[in-house]
Amino acid sequence: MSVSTPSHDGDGRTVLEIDDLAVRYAVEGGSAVHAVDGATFSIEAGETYGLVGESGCGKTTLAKSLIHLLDNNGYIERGEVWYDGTIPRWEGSDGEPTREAIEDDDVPVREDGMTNLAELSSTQIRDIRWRDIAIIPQSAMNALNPVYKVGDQIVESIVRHEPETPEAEAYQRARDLLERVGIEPDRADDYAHQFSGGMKQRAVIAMAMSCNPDVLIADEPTTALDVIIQDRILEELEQIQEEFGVSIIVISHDISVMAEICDRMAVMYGGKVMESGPKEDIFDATANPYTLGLKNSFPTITEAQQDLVSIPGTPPKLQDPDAGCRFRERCPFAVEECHTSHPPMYDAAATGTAVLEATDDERAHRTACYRIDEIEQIRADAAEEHTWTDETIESQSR
Amino acid sequence: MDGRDNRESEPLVRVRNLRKLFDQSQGIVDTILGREPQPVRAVDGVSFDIEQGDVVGIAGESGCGKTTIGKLLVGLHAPTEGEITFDGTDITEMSNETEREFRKRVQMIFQDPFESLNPRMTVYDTVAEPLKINGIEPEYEARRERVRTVLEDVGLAPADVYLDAFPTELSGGERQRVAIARALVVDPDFVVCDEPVSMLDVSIRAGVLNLMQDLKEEYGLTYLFISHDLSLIRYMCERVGVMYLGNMVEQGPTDDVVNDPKHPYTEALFDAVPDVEMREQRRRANATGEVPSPRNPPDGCRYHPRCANIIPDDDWAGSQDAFRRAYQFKLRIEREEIGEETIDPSEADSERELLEAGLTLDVPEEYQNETERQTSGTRVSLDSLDMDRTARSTLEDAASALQSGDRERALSLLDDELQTVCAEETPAPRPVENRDVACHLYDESPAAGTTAGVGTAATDD
Repeated sequence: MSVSTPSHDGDGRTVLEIDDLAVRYAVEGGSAVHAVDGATFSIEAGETYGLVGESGCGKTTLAKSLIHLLDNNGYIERGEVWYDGTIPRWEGSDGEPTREAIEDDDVPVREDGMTNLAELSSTQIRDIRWRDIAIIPQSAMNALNPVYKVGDQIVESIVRHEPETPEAEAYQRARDLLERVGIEPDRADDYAHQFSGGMKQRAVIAMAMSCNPDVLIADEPTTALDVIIQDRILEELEQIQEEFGVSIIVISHDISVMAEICDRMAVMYGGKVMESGPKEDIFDATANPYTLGLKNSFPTITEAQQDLVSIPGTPPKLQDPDAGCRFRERCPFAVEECHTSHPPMYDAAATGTAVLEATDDERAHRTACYRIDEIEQIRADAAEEHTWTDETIESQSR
Repeated sequence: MDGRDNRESEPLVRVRNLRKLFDQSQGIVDTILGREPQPVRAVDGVSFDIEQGDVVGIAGESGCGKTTIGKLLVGLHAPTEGEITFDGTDITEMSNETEREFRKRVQMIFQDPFESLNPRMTVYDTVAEPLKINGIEPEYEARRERVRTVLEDVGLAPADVYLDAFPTELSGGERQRVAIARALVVDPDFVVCDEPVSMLDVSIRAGVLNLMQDLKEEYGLTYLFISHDLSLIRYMCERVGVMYLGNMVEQGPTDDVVNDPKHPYTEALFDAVPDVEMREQRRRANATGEVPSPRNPPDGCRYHPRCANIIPDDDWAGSQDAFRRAYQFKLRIEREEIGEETIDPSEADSERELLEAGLTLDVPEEYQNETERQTSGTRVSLDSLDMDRTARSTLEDAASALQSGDRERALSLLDDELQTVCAEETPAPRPVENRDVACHLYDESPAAGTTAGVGTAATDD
């Protein structure tokens, strides 16, 4: 028997629509680090969306900015984050935004009832955070409070976000949640140090699911875990999704984990989404030099003879970057155009046609590369080791 | 690595029955109460050979003792017991003279290049230091030239750009290259690499790995490559040893170990690795629970409490699956994960509920019994398990003892019924095909016949 396929029970309803989002960190001297720049994608109900990239590519910043969890010097420079839902104040008795809210120009709710999270105040976002969009931060399992019982910490998160819940009911819910993630409900009365690593991560997942959110953000959910436990946590995430129908945003640098659990994904580099779309398209019809390079440098367990090729150079500094393509310094395929401006997102399926069109279809397989019309050749060249030498790249970038 | 290869020459490194225990410092309470100190058994009876020119991998999860082995081999730890010979010399009993020679021939590359380089030393000072310590190239010009050559060999060219740089000015990949240059500058024969790329970004890892492979040819090196990342082991190593809780459970040619693992732990470990090619078609790992503490490891085979293939005694009248479940029930009682408070005693059939909860397997869904899947793993129907009446009534007696609060009686009932060689005897490594496997499944006794029961589904009767 094989690992169950990720659920696609999404009714096609868009839960989150991120439009031209840019996030910066202010640094001394008036300049800024452009951590996320012009990210555009959307997430449907019940799907798993992956943000993949190396350290410093902006994937965590992007996820945190959705629910205003940036560090003090971080801010949203521009862009919108449309969420299918709203805060209680603008909700009518049917749970939908009221007509007044939609028509009021000062209220960031649009005609189809979606709310722009980027414009909410820090008190307003608290109604969304955790109740509607929950996050499991990186190494959250090590952040459980050692002097409170695990069950009580889940109760606390329920009562904090749903103050009307009676304590006893919240406690029962905590036990149920633990059982759902495969922990004996009795262990609710244990402390974190009595849990093993895998159990702590399960407890953190239970906690994140405590208010039955629409979207769950999991930042490197398996990175510090041993491989057998990682396997179980990945299964757990799939089961949680099946049961609750929650959309999951997974952040990871590990493309083999992504290949397994995501429905769709975005490959990020230097704050930009370089390629996005259905997982199958990204792996089987890769349409961006960076993704090709990343795939080349990743060993797999199934292949005996493989030639790994690394991408020369190092990721760019994102402090006041210039206008050119972020990847061009390391790209063996860079041309004149790449130095003038970062490419827009092109429709990757339209390769071979003479006309290049930037596409707004966020569901499609899209790539930020000017040479998309030559992608067949680029794919072939990218498989050759000599393509990725410093010399080749040097000659391109002059 | 297993020494059974009929090579003419002596292996470069020969390890026999190696043991390293770390003493736990005793608290005052323990001292007053006169408690015996319980050492951490980091490496507990490991034997292997490394042939000249091989790249040998040590794989395993965190805490299995793989780093400790690396440090023992370069002399950073002294073994508690056992024997390490390097090129014919016992490294535990070296004179100062031979030790100096040994330290020149054996080097180590550490995991984190952000911590293993002194931030106040320039690249030149860092790489030249081993030369100074070992009295190689006493002339400044010659020394500088040698450092320059090594830097260019590890891909830091032109060397003059790097010579006076401090580590903070370098990227992670460049730092690890400096660390490699520092190891190679004394022209060693044997290099222990402890997770050499795990701190590096994915896109530059391959460059460092390929460099290490090139340098192996150029400098005529032998590597011990330690990693938790099995895909990297597959990429780098001709032979691999898989460790679990201080023991080496299987060793042999990497391709064979990956494609056809013999030890149940190795099988679970490789099943658990996600893969770009396989995606959702991958089989999950069939193992229960997590790695126990090396302070108090299980008796017999260290892996038996998690093992899918635990071997029932001949008097067990039932399927292997039923035995594995009954054994899990016993372990849960032992660890006090289950007890009289688990099921409300006022509930109808509470004893049976307790037993049906206790007999569940904490494994991925694909290995669960049909009745288990229906209850999302919380209960397994007793009737769906294949065992005879005596076994079943023992389990029921144990459950009722447990429900009435008599944990000890429950355990002694189960102990009598659930005999297994896996818990009683430590399996010695024995040759299976072209490798060594430490597992009772490969014993020559009749017990080996029970493998047929593995993986067969329980009957629904």
